[in-house]
Amino acid sequence: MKHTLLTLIIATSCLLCGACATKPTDPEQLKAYEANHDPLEPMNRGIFAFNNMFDAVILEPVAYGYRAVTTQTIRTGVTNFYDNMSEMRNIVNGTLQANGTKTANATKRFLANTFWGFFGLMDVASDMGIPKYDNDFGQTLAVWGWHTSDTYLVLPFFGPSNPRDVFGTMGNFITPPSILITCLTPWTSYPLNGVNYVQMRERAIEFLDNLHRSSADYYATIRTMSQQNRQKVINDALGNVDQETPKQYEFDMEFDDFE
Amino acid sequence: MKKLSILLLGIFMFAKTAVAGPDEATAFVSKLANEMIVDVLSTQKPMTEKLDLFRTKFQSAIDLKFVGQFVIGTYWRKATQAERDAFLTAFMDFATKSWADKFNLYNGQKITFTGTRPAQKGQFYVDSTIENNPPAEVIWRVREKNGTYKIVDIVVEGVSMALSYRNEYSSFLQKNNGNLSALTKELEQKSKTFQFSEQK
Repeated sequence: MKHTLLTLIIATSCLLCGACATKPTDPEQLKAYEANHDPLEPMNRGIFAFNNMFDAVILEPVAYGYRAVTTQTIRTGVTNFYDNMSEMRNIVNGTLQANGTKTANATKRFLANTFWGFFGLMDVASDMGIPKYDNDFGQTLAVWGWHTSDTYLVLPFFGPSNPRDVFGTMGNFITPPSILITCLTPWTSYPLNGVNYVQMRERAIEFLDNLHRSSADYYATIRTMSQQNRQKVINDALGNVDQETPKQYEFDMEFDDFE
Repeated sequence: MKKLSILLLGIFMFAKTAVAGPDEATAFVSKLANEMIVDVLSTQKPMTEKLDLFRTKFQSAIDLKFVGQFVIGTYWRKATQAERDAFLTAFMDFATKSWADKFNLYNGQKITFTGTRPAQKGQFYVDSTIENNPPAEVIWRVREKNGTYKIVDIVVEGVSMALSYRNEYSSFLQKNNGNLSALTKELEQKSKTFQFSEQK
């Protein structure tokens, strides 16, 4: 069912817009076009519009509802709970990356929060000074050698991605906690996943509202911001701490003065 | 007392003659961040009043002319002087509101300044971390000109303000046949109807 729907969405978007963007001929516009790494722009825009519609009709209203019926203390507890579960993913990927520090860090956090923080409802690990780092299978693939994966892709429901992170997302599905949740009965796994999406969306309400209101082209804004942010995460994972020239930030800001 | 005044005089003279350098850049940014966030946005004043105060600080601290020129890139050269002026006015007004809203969401976490690195000629990256879980990295790109510092970019968790605007606007302009007035109109419209996020 899920697959049929997905295929249908992709097929429709392709038909509607034609899958490939036309390359501009003007050399300067061509440069901008290439910097976006978005050869599938018409298709991506179609899926982006679909995601936005889904968000506007279902996800955002539910997130507002969740906010209305909970207090900040409850929401923090819920977020902590999911964050603590995600430490399992951090442990697995830290191990796969042979990164002792990250693995030990995530293990310590998971144990501390699970046992002393009421199954993760309280983030005692941060109070103990053990910092949190998010890890995922996309970062692992980067560490394993897939350093550059620029082509921009928008996935239905999952949003901005690229070829490496498509495999990363699939990898995350077969990593705990996701695989453990999937193994539960549907009556447990669906609400468990559902509440997680809603709590993540609730935390982003103001941020996304601000972006949406202030963008002349919301699609382009989300594209460049997600690309830049992901590049930073990958650079950090690769231990590229030499931020003097972060890859996406190598741009010239010299102009003739024009007072 | 005399000692103190000599000391003060010394500091004053040093400050005046100080060569442009990383320490000055950090001092400039930390003072500014404090003024914008602590003194203006974190207060309980009504938003319109906060915005007026913020506007003064923000527009004097950010090189909006420089940034405005950067964000429309190649279209700047093709535009007429009148188009450029109209765009800059609209961009300044709009960027001020948008950034007041962004800073306003900041919940008083501690900012730690971790160092400064030189960038291109006369420019510095001032590194800072906002206490959060996980901590957020903010880089302030500062440009020095004739002894005064101005911010030309703010990079939050790898996302550059200048680069993002540039990307967004070039995409908009491409769809509108490179018509800068269309972008100016769009920004004016957005600015007019801008609503500030409600505090949580």
